Amino acid sequence: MTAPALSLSDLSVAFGPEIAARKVVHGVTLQVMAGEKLAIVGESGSGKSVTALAVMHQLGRAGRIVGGSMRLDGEDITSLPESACHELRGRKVAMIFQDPMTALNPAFTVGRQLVDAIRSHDDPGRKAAWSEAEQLLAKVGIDDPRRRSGQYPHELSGGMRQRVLIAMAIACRPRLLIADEPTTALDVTVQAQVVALLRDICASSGIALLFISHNLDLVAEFCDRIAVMYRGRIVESGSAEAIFSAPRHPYTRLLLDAVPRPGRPLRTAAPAPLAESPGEGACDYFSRCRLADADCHVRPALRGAGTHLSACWRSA
Amino acid sequence: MTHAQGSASPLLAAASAGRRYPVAHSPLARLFDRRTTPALLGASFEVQAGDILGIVGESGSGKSTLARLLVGLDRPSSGRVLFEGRDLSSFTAADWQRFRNRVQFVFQGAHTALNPRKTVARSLSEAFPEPPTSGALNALLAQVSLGPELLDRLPHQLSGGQKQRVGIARALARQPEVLIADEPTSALDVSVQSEIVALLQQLHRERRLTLVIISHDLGLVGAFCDRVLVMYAGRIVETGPAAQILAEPAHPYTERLVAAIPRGLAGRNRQADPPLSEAARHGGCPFEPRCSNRIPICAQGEPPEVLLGDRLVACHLAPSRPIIAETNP
Ligand SMILES: Nc1ncnc2c1ncn2[C@@H]1O[C@H](COP(=O)(O)OP(=O)(O)OP(=O)(O)O)[C@@H](O)[C@H]1O
Ligand SMILES: Nc1ncnc2c1ncn2[C@@H]1O[C@H](COP(=O)(O)OP(=O)(O)OP(=O)(O)O)[C@@H](O)[C@H]1O
Ligand code: SF4
Ligand code: SF4
Ligand SMILES: [Mg+2]
Ligand SMILES: [Mg+2]
Repeated sequence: MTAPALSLSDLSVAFGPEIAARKVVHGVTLQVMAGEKLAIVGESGSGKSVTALAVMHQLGRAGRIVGGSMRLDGEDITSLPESACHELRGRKVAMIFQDPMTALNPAFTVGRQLVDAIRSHDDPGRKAAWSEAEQLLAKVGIDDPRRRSGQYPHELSGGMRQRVLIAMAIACRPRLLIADEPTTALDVTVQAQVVALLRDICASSGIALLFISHNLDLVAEFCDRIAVMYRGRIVESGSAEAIFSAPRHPYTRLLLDAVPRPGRPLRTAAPAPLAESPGEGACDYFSRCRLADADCHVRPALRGAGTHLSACWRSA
Repeated sequence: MTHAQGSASPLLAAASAGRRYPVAHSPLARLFDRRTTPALLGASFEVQAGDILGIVGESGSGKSTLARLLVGLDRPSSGRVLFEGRDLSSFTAADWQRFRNRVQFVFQGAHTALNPRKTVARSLSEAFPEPPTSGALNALLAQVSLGPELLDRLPHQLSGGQKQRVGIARALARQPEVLIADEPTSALDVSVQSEIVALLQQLHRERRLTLVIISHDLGLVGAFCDRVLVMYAGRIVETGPAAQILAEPAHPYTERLVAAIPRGLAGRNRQADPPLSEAARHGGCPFEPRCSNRIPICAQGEPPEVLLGDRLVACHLAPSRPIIAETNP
């Protein structure tokens, strides 16, 4: 069997000085195969973006990997010298963010920025880079690419800017594309187009996709597998069908119940009590869980038969 | 600012409020290029005290522009914005002070709204009229489901959703009467979002908080808001009861929007509408190039707003579409 495009095993990330380090990602294990679309969903602040930034080697000065390993196409990328990090980003892994405006430089035309991205790795020369840029813009569904490439970011709509960023991200044919809430700022019709584009790219070029989102109905529609995070850990993972038709972890069920849909009443809830959990080693969901009992004083590992895994004593 | 006692003036109103922006994007270029493009074309509507109004619509249709006009962060280039019947452009410094105490705004994109050099504690403290006790700070954070351990952090040390909640907390610190929130829960998981919505509902119940919520989440708007404005290309194309409009849209654009709501497993492998070139801004209906219901007059004249039951719909076909007759007997 071929190695997964991305494989994280027992990855832990912490912030702050060594003596007062705060772990925010605790032993995350996941794989994404070439051409596969994996969604990470879950609690705000649970470590989704930090996990993605760890893969990109963009944790900043205060953050570092404190355990586990990361592999890209079988090659260990856990610790890399700065020059190799540059090579990794853009060439092997690319990331697109929620707000396309902050990721584009307002002072340059989008064509120029795309050409710079193409030329920063394996420079094919100016002229070839421009024609490649136009082809890429056409590929992401922008019509009249020649005219568009002469425009500045503010002259494009939000959806078009997100397409430009996707074009930049795939310019160097990465193995892995990470998209952190790429459609949150877009209306639902444009969102559907962007997602269709990502689906086509994965299918046609075998790029693996790691898609971070809060939109459960959206990821159910187009991702292959889902990982649910809570307090720095994956608490449930499995195929989209399994997670959405037979969720196991109480937190996953809570999330699915809270999805607002037209025509059904909102489930609103007061903030969860910040009640003390019985101790460091207990299940993280203990203080909110209606099924909790004495067993749950020991944190359950992710387990289950087959590919549908859940970290809960009462369901597996 | 006089309180309009029992008068007919709505709390907040836009009267043909429009906004144009220069095409050139640097002050220097503007000297040579005086062209402007419209971000908002003559929006008119009213918000009564205690209303929960939703604003939805196309990316770039002018929702945030409209919100900025409503809170006085930007001025209309045509038309007026009124608070308790008074034009914001006639406000004195003292009026603005009182207005700021009563009307608060949550910016779209929390990352740009928080000062990167101020800790959470400082950002929040400055939002209170007087320096708060640490108990008051903790209580405010708890309202938005955050713990006190975040107080010493800088914005870049927070997750996207944590920043967004600090932005909401800051707007609530002054106990405003009106909250205008631009995509306030877009970065939150649905469970935390439901906690924030519960908080807003409670404030609405207990203090009659008036809410204007801009969102791309139509499920949220349909369930939470009483009324909705649907915007397309700088115009309000449909307004009326939120749940009803999202269940049975009358305007072809609203229909298109509702059809694109993700459907979960049921929508797997659904085809998206192909991207279309942007609406040409000619004299006709702005949605005409993309509309599958169009008829010849659509390209010639901009459709008037037609009142149909509880709804206003800007579409030439609206009066003859059966759906309206059914929903508004
Ligand atoms: N630079 C940093 N320094 C310290 N703590 C950080 C830093 N960046 C993130 N954190 C913390 O790490 C935790 C995980 O953050 P992360 O951004 O990964 O959350 P997330 O799952 O992406 O949440 P959201 O859905 O709100 O974006 C959070 O508690 C956050 O406060
Ligand atoms: N300060 C500005 N200068 C120039 N153009 C602007 C400015 N602010 C907004 N615009 C333009 O006005 C139009 C309306 O923008 P606005 O931000 O109000 O849209 P929106 O409906 O809030 O969109 P979104 O859903 O993407 O937030 C857009 O075409 C935008 O590019
Ligand atoms: S392990 Fe126990 S506390 Fe944790 S989610 Fe399962 S039942 Fe609830
Ligand atoms: S006026 Fe005509 S083009 Fe415009 S939305 Fe109605 S039917 Fe479509
Ligand atoms: Mg995040
Ligand atoms: Mg906006």
